[in-house]
Amino acid sequence: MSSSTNTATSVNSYPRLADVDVHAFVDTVVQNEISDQAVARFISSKGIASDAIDSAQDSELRRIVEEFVRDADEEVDQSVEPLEAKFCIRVFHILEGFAPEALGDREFWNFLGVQYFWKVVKIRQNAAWNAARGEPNDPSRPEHERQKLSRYLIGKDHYQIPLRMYLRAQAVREGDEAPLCEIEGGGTDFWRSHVLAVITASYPPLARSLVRAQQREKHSIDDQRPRARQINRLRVNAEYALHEDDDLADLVDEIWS
Amino acid sequence: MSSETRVLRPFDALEKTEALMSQMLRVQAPPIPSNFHPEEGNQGLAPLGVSIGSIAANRGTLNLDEVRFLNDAIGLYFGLNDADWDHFIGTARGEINGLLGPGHDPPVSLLVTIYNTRLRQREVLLNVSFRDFEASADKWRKLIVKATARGDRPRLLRMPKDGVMLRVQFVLSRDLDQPERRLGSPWRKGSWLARASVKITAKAGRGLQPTPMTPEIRSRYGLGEKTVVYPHFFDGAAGICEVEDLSDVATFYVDEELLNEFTGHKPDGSLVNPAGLAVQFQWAMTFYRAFFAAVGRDPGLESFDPLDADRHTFLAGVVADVAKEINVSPEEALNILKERPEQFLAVVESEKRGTEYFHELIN
Repeated sequence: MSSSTNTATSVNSYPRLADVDVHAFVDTVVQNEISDQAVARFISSKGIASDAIDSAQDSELRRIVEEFVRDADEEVDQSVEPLEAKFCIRVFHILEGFAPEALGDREFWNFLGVQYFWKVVKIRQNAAWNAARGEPNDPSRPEHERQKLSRYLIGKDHYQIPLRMYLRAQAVREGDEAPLCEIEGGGTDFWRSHVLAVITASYPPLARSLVRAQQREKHSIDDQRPRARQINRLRVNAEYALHEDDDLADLVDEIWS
Repeated sequence: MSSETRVLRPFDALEKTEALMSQMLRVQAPPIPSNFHPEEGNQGLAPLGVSIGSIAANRGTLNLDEVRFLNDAIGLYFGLNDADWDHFIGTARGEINGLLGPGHDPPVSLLVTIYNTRLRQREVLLNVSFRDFEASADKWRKLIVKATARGDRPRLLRMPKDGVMLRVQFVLSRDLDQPERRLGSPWRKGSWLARASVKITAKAGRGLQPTPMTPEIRSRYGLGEKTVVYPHFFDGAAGICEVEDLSDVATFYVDEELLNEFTGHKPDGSLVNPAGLAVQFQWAMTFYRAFFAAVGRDPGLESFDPLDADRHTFLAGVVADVAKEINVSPEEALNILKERPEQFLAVVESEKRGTEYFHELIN
């Protein structure tokens, strides 16, 4: 079910992997012995050429992943969250170089997840990775954990590793830099629940105000929740497409303090 | 399920204007041709090449193919003639004056945005003060996207696979000064006063079609040999409240033999088995039961807002249907789902009865 889109009158050509292919990747390549060669064979078996991505973009994506693996230094799961934070802006910049048609197609993101980011997924979501290989951390729910791995590879939402890195940088970047991606007091739950999973991520001035407030207050997960609910209610009643950071900072500070 | 009392709109807004937007507003690609005669209504559009699917009203979907998504101009219409426009704009002006006090140039703008849910990206297509909007020479017809070359097209309209949510709303264009503020009225910049939304997509097909349950499927999911239907959610319940297209998250399996028997058609279009409609209806209710159970387990239900027009979620659609069926607000319908899901399901059953095809039942 994979294809390389090439409709001359409509969109540019770019590599794609269907969701079912990602599930097949987990069920076969991940479960058996995975390696760069095995991934390359899998991608090739889906009719995607080895030069489907521009060589400069290909090299930069591979470099980001190599540096991530090197810096992880055998740490896994939550302990490498700071690394995910650190590489967000580079992932954002390299992906912004692709055509909008590709970025707006989750099957392109599926390809990115499998072709480039599988090593990051293996490190960052190691529990799910192990479950997919038949060694679940929670043996009572092996199917549940195994299925989670696909979610980190399929580009449908903010669970997928490259997409969530891209979204995080997009939400809080300031020009070419995104120091707010790496705030102390952030953490997986804060970013996922209060920034990326909600529409806050689509209003950078609101997201930046919120992240700056959390950087200052460093609320625990439990203390974040009631404040986040207030932010969500506020957001439901307003449209922030025309706001600047200064318009929202005081309001968010008042709620988050 | 937890109970929660919330005030989602803690202030007065433009209720009549919003109701009129619901009735009159339409989005169309390509735009209404200049040789259209308004007095002929929709019938006058067909000879001009405007087909079903290329027009959408509030909460509807504009279904285009990829080429048209990438190329067509898009028009936004407040009715179909000058009389519609006069009624609409007069109502909006009256409500704005009532809400904010009379003034030649009220701090209200018409804002038209498009939004890509997955990429969390938003673009402003139109931002015009109410005064200019009211005085605009083109009256009821607005061209919001030109038929432009690819590089000039709004970025989100170069993403046919994802599609966009188009939102039309009146918002406060600035914070009101202290003396201008009234108790129970909005004062913050961005507060929306009336809104409508339309989905624009190039995705073919909607709704959830049943998939044959083969022996391999039974084995894969540990189902019994006599199992007839099985709604399978790929990733469990998490995030199901936010889903727009059910086929992204679920497959509905039906025993292969029974599926053929009860959905097959004769050459004249009627069902092979006369009991087909009733059986399909029961299958659909089985799906809804499983869906609402999954919704109840989704942590996202707590903060789910049925009025958030950024999200044309499947759940928001069902909540709206239930609200309409028993004449309550969407917030109240959502509370019924949380507190008395069996009542909610019973109302869904009432609302869906009479629908003929499975994919329309689950749509």
